Amino acid sequence: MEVCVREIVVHSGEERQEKQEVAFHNEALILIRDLAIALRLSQQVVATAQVYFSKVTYSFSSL
Amino acid sequence: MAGGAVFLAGKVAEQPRHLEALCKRYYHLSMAIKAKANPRLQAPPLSKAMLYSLKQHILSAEFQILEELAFEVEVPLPYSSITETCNLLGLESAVSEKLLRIANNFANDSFRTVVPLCKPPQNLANACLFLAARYLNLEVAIQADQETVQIILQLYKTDCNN
Repeated sequence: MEVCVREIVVHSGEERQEKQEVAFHNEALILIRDLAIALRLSQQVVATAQVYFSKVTYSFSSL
Repeated sequence: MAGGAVFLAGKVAEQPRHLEALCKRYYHLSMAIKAKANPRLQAPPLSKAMLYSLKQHILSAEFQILEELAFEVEVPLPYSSITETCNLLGLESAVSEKLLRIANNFANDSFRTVVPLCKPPQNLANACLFLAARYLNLEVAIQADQETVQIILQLYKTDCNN
């Protein structure tokens, strides 16, 4: 019984961390969009910058 | 990293911006985000030393991105595929224009998901046109990968929950 409770705690902790990482990533992508719009860059630049950011972030997180 | 990505993408698309202008905008936007999370926070004005440090950070992030991409900076985008596929549908010009605009909006949002990293641009274009047609209640023959469609839709579900 004790083991089960511990497992649940660990799982919820991981889930929270994952949610925080997703929120951080999403916030950064929105910052990229807003920054590019503020600098009057085209939508193609926004998309390219977001792909760069995602590629780098996912390659770091897969290490 | 976000500032470095915008700086590099601007140069690749031949729309370069001055590093100083980018740093100033970046600072104000990131301070606005922090102030949103903590309304009592008072952002200090951007000093010369802070500006210099931020410039170094962005330049270092730009190089880090280039290394990570192995200097392959070309990113295939779905916008031209969306336009080509939309033209092949043979719709009235007003309807086609509307469908194209909404599909492009779905494409813009899709860059906040993993889809552009793992699916080819044509696949993404079809999914965006499929979603746009559904949104406009149009009967059009578009074969879209349902996994791609679901990933894009998940973005809106997540946004609604937050």
